[in-house]
Amino acid sequence: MQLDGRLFLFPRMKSGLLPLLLLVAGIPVLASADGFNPHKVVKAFPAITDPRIVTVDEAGRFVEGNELVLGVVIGKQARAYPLNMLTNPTREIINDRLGGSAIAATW
Amino acid sequence: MRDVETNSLWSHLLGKAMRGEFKGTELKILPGVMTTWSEWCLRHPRTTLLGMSRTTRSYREAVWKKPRRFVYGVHLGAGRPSPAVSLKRLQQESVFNFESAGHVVLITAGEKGVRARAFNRKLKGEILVFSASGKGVMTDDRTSSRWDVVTGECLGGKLKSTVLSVLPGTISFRTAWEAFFPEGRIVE
Repeated sequence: MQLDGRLFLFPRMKSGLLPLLLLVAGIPVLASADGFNPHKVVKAFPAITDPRIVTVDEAGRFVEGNELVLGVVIGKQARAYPLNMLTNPTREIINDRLGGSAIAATW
Repeated sequence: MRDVETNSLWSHLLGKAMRGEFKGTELKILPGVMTTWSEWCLRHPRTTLLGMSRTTRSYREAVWKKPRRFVYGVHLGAGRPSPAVSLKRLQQESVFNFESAGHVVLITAGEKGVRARAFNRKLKGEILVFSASGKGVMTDDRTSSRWDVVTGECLGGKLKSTVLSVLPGTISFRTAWEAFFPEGRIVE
């Protein structure tokens, strides 16, 4: 699948049934009867959960002013995900929690 | 992407399960913003930040110097055509009104098109048309009220304190958008 430029934050499913974790070994998927024919399905990587989150005061070590971030606000809480941390295939999905919601930042 | 529980395959861009037990299920897409860290901090001084090692250094403000590679796409919901506007256009018109499949959409973009947001510009049954009127501010054509281009909140005038509803949108590589929304219209 051509998946560059994805900028969504997904709340997980109701009642936490579906934490979006990438864990199970993937197998290449070829053309099939269900009409879904992804260009490529890569193997699954260990899920990222409980990622390290830092405050603005600590941010200087992680991000510079002109770097792009994906930002989201839930309730009164704001969080930024620097794109420069999301580009490796093993990093493309960050399972996280913010403002009481279970979300995933994806790239 | 996959979920651990059922190993269903999901599309990142659509937020929808394409294969497996959850096939057809759609996740709720939250309106996120893509901007620079400095601008984000100005708006959200108490923000927190993902603190992992960098995997690249290439995503900086300079990325937008090639606007033709990108579009800003708006998600209008399952099964509805998802319109997109070329980033080039948004760099020229920072407050952009358009209509697609019966939805009246407003996209506001920051300088250089670095930060963009989409709003529904129908308010209490009335369709508003917005135009830029100074840094970070726009006005509507019906009441001439002043609005914040980032939050969609009315700052002053007859509609003061009203807030436009935000639509989920994203900056995407044009090629990716075209692949996922072949029927969607791209406004050049």
